[in-house]
Amino acid sequence: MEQSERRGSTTFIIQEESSAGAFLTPAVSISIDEGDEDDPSCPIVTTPVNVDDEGHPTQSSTEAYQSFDTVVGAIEDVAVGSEFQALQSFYLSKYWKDFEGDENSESTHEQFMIFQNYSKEMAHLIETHVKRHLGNDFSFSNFIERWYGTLEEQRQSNNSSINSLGVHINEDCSQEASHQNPTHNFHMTCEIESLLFTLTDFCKFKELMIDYRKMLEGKTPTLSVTHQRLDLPH
Amino acid sequence: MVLLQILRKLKQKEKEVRILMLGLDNAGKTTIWKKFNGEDINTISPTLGFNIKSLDHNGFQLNIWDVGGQKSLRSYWRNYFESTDGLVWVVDSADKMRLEDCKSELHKLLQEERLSGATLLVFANKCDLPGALSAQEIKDALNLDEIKTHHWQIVWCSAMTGENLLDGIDWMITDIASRIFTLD
Ligand SMILES: Nc1nc2c(ncn2[C@@H]2O[C@H](COP(=O)(O)OP(=O)(O)OP(=O)(O)O)[C@@H](O)[C@H]2O)c(=O)[nH]1
Ligand SMILES: [Mg+2]
Repeated sequence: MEQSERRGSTTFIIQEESSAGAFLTPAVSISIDEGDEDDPSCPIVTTPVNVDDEGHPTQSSTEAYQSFDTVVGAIEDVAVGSEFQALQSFYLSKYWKDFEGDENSESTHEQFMIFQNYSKEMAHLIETHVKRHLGNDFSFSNFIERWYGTLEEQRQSNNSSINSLGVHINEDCSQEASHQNPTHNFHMTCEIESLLFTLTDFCKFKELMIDYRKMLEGKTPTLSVTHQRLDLPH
Repeated sequence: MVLLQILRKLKQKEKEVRILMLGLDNAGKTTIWKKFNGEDINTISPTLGFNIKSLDHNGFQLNIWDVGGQKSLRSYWRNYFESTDGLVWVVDSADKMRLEDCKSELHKLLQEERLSGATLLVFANKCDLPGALSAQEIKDALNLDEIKTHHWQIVWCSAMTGENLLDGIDWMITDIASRIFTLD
């Protein structure tokens, strides 16, 4: 078992179990910030920790997957957090007027540039947040590759046509409920999955904007009537 | 942005193919795009922004981008280069006057770093028009034989009749698939 140490935090290099061969990346490095080890306020670890020959902590495979839940948890945290909500609201309220028509109408270059900025800022926010919680050594790349490996396995076991390889997020999500294999007990919730893909999918972003616009416009008639009345001379 | 790069890479694994359709204005890009989508092609106006659509085809998810080609709008093209697997260059085969312009715009694109990995499909469109040049003539006029940096193919087609459109796209997907998706 590989091991490395950083001051003020514990770093585990989690070795993949050979049975999980479909995973594309052999090892994932996750750092968990637990404060200074000498800090008396640091909570006592109650879960049993295996120790290797040199007295370093080791992780069993089960714990590795629990750590994946931690990552998913961290992404979930940021998605429901106020920073994330504020950033999204900022984009919605600032730019909804730029999204006329429906999903099928021609898009403008301005819309695409808004999307590119949105995508960059959101991704940056998620990355920063997750790294703050899991340490700078945390590798998104490994995490997502591994997540992908699980999806791929699910697909193969639920195997139907070649078409099932296409991106059908909803299908994957529905499969998730029936997914009970304890070897892969980390899994991404549906919302997180679509949230992440939204960052690279202009159409999803456009949909979001148009829905917001429709919602606002549903209220607009009432507002404009009120407004007209107020404008009447007394 | 690491996260975004990874997500894009992931999509590639999902057999998602990104196709960027460019060319001079009036070449027939939107007509081709609508033909693929099975939409009405009789009420098309010049594209000021862009159109995008995802289609399932032969087990691939094609994301086809159709970007307006008017001269003043060509500076926006670069915003759409990222992650392009296939570049479709649409030519109006009957527009002999602008072949020179057409050639220089194409060769400019081929020097773009972000398009360096893309397969090139040239659609010699409007072959149904009486004055249309042949695919051979278009190939010579555009100096296609000079291209050593990209896999390319030219297909004589008509967006009006739909002739050869699928053949062109299928060649392109096969070429992309052989480079990107290694079958195991
Ligand atoms: N005869 C004939 N006319 C075509 C064909 N394809 C397109 N056209 C016509 O050419 C004109 C321009 O087509 P568009 O699809 O709008 O061209 P475009 O490349 O999208 O142009 P921009 O959006 O300005 O870049 C339209 O009037 C089409 O009906 C074709 O294969 N044959
Ligand atoms: Mg057009």
